[in-house]
Amino acid sequence: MTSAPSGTQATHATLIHYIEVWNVEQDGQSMQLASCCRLRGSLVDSETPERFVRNGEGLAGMAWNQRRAVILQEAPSELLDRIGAKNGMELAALIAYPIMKGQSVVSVIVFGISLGPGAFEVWSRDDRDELSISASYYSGLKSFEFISRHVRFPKGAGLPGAVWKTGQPRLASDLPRSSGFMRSFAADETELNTGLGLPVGSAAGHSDSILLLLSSNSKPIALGFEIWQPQALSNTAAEAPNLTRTSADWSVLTSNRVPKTDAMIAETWTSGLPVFNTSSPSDASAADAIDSEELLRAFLSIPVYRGVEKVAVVLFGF
Amino acid sequence: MTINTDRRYVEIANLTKAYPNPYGEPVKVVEDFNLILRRGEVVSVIGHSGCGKSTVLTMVAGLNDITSGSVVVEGRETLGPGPDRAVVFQSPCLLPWMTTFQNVMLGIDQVYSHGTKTERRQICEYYLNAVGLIDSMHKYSREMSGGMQQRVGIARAISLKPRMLLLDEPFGRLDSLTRMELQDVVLEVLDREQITTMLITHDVDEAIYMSNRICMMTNGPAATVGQVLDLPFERPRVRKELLEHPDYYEFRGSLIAFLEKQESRKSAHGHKLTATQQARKATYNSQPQPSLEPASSGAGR
Repeated sequence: MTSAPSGTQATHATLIHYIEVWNVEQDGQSMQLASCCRLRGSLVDSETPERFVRNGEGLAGMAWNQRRAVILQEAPSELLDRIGAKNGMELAALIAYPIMKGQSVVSVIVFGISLGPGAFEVWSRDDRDELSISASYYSGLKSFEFISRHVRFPKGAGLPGAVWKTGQPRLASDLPRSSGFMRSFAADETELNTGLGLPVGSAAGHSDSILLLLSSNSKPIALGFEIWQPQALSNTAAEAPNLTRTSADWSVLTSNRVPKTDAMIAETWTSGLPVFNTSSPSDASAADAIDSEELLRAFLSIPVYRGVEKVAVVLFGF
Repeated sequence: MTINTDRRYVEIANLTKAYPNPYGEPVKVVEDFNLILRRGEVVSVIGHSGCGKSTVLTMVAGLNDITSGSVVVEGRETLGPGPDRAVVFQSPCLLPWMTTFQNVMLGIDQVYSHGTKTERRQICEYYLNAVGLIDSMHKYSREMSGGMQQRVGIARAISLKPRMLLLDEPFGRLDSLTRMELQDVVLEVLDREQITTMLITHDVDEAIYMSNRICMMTNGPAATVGQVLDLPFERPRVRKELLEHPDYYEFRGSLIAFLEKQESRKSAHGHKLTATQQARKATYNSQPQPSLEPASSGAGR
């Protein structure tokens, strides 16, 4: 399906311009591609070809097999080139993020990354019980990359440490002034503006590793991020608890209005699987955006588990 | 000693210190401080004055009660002060009626009580020599400069062969030349003896020169570890080479920016009180305060 915007509405190019959503089949033997989307300027090419991979096959299968986020960026990379050529786009990196329920992977999201200032980091626990970078992709962030490779976070320290301690996703806006973001020097220098920390796996209530997305305003990773959580943690077992938007960052958009995403969030919570939607002018969310002459092309919402319990839904707007 | 113990030689876990405020409520000055030191490692703790660095050090030393959390040295949880953790403060606190030799012998006599008098004397002379004071061993503190007195304090601490050395801004009162000279003396001893060391400082250059790692503390209240910087420079170090290293100023800039950010937070939030605190403060201020003036009609006047 191709959805094209009407008229001359402005769009923002995002660092993520290719998305795959893979869900593990019920028999646990393979993963099926649930959504595949290319974001080309103001256009969205979305399709769902019937494709399957087995554990360990391809990038999504690798993330499933290793139960950790995988970042692929080394050039030349056959897989990177192949996926890029197949989709007619130049990719600087690919990131595969596994969504885990307890020790089992339920889905894998693959992001294709274009060139632009931003960072994707995987922070893993080392033998000192500190988080250090185990995989990363940086673009245009020389000093930030250098310092980050020497920084360690104990439990609770900084954005990755906070995600590790709570097992919850965390969003930090205005990074140069954020008290929760410690690497301020490099953030000032490179104009990184928004940080999103996502836990990967959470046996015994603590994250095994953290995927950290650091986005700039000049070419953001996504146009906006939201975190939705149940009002009371005791309510998480309910089929459809009262979810609240606990944090959001749409600072890239000039409009103060944020899109209405309640239905998508509820669907994600209920299914326990990621949901990908392209917007059309009839969507309430897109209509809101069009009001402000800005077009949101697509939305991705993903569930976050702590152990086997859902604790949050994270939404990306593109 | 197992390799595993060496890799987690000192484990500071969830260290928290709270004091009661004027309303009797506990105020956490340090909260959930977590840090692991490998054997022989030098870790600096930097942060603004008053952030709680010395509170952490005194809790690790066992000189200050821990509200919650634990300190484990070589697999054993510490319960109060002990000779396994030696401390050097900013002021060496020498006993003025004793000579340099006698000041150092005080600790040696306690820790090496099983040794002969000759052995104890040799140990004392060895460490006085290590800090360059062998020719001043019979001097009293009043006959020595601040730098020399601090050398005595360092010799006194390391002669105990501690498992851990705790340095609380030990060069803070010295002029810059003496400071650099003493930094070299301490580094040489630490390299030779492989003593696991925690150094409290607010001098970023000192932290980079002396340490394997730098632990950056956030501002209080509830100060904690903001982040830890792993320095890739090998020890022993040559100051000139380090200063000319292309990465030196990246680390330095990162440390200064961290401290500046903490300072700006302090300025922005330092004097804000919650509505409840404001109400309580008003109540507290409106109560009659005890007067230091003697009563005009008091007895004996």
